[in-house]
Amino acid sequence: MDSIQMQRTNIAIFCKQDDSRCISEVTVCSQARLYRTIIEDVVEGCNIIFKEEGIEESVVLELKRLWEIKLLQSRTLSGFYPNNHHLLLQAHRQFLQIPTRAQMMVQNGRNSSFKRTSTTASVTSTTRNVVAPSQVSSNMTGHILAPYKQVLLVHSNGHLATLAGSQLILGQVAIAPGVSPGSQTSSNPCLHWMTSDGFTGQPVTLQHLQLPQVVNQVPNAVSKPIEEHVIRVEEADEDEAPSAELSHNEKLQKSRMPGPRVPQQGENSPASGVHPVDEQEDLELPFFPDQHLGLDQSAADVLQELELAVLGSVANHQNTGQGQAQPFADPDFLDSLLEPQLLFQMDGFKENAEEDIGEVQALGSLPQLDGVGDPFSDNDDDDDEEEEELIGSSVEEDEVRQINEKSLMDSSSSEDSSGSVDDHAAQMLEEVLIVDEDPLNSGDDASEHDMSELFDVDHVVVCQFDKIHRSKNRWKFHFKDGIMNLNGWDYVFSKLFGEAEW
Amino acid sequence: MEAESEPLPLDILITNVVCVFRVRCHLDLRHIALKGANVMYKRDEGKVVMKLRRPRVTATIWSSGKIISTGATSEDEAKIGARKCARCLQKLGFQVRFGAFRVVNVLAVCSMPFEIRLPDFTKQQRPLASYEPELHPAVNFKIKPLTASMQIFSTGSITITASNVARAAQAVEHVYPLVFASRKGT
Repeated sequence: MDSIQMQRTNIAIFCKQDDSRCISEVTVCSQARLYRTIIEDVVEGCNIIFKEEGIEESVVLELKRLWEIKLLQSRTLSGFYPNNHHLLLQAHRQFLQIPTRAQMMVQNGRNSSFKRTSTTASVTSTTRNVVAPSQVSSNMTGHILAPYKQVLLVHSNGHLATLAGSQLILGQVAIAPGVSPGSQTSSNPCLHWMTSDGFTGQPVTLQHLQLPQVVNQVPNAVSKPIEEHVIRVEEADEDEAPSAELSHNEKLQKSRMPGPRVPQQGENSPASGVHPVDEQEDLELPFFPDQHLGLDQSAADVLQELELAVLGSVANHQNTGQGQAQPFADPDFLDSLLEPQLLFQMDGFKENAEEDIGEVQALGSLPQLDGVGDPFSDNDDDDDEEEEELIGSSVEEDEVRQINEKSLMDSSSSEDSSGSVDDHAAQMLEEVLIVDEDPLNSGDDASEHDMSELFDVDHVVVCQFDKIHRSKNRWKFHFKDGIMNLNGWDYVFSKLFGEAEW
Repeated sequence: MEAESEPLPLDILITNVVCVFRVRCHLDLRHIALKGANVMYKRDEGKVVMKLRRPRVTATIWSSGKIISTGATSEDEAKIGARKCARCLQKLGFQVRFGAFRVVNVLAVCSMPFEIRLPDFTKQQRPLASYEPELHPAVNFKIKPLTASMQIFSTGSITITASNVARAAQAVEHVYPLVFASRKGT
């Protein structure tokens, strides 16, 4: 934590958790410098890794830029950059535009999403994993990117969709005027804007898009690689290969297709292992020069909308029947998207995506590491003679009990088999009788243990501990070297003493 | 001496109920420690301590699936707490089956309305009571058939440790007349 130490100023903070009050004596916090050094450290590290992987440096630069932009926008620091406007504009240029309605929707999600996550980390995650296969029909013939990727789908008929998980939908935008909304489906890969009342099954069609403006703003946006990318993005159903390309951390790409089909002119460079991003040196707006796409938003909205859409949707997302979206509701997961390793994991995942072409449920074929089928819970020592694996259902419980009692009647030694001595046997019998009471059900729920609620907090502290002490239910903490996000603002400390009651 | 020496109006407060139960499957303590809520992992001792709030109960969990639960104030509460703990483990993904629930120990406190002359009491209850004022200010009184033991203080408050609540009550009833005989007062 070198950078932190460099920036460190001694901050004595006395705080209590939960119903606490915070008294902080923050002297000078050079957060901006801190963040900058953090960013630079990370970028350096990434550079090395990227070089090893054969990825161009421009990717890293772009990521860095994105990071800075997000940081700026998250407003957790004041005056992070002196030239805010310049950066903002630049950022906006990078993204295609989304109509206003989406933007507003997204703004709602913004607060919660940004508050929750630690700024630098999660900020980057939003735009990174956006790719856009396109799709016309509800069958996702396109390329579902690896699970855990937030995917921006651009339908070939010009609809903008984001796929993240089977049902994670952000919004659907009909970009090209004249494209009938009816042609698209409300299927999973579609991007649906979340309304304030929740899930919208129907995509929202936005009418007035005047893309020529965009085109004008981005004069040098035309570049072949961009087109390639865009095209790839577009025609998922025409080309099976692209999921590979798509499955990279690309910037948000939205291309505007006026017509239902975009010719995929073999411009799809295979580039499986290559991040399409690096083709776009300038982070310019990709588009089709010969087509008119209209948006009436200024570029300024794009950045916010898109990534907030992503984050916001995650925050607002309702879990549908398909459990795939759950990862996205998980703030920890969002943060984990951050990690540079994920960039490379994407390659690994793309195989999955390709296999399950057309299946949104592909995301369901994730290996499950814990849960019901987990390897952790070994088979219990089967005290019961007859059954093998009890899954704890009530039916089986009853069976067990019957069997237990039967065995008692027989007065044979119980399963434990060590009970040949009389008093042992008696003890065993008693145990056998007692064993396996009513199956656990929701009546036994300790609702306070709801993990999702527990982590829905306004303040986050990430630090190292020196000592943690507890007496009964009073806790005392001695922390060091930490970053905090309190009420949306970032702080840094070198030592922290805290008390709390549980 | 009063004819009525039954401790009918006495209040016996149960301060602690200790119970054991099993979840009938092996547990991955590390997984519980990472994913569980309100848990403390004592890796050196090989156990996880899970605290519940509503039955104010502390459960010590071993990897064998055996669990000790302490802190409840009644037997029913102890059972509820135990089931909640097992339910938490079930939610973490383990195939738990709640079984072999057994109350092991009950601590209760009772206060006599009178003070007690301890040396006198000890003399009368020679083999069962042991009194070492230099070590501990209370008389240690054991009721073997009930497997109950009590600490009797000169202020009249008695701490009972028994294997269940019923026996604790019986122990108090048993000792009341004996203590009454050695009371300060008359």
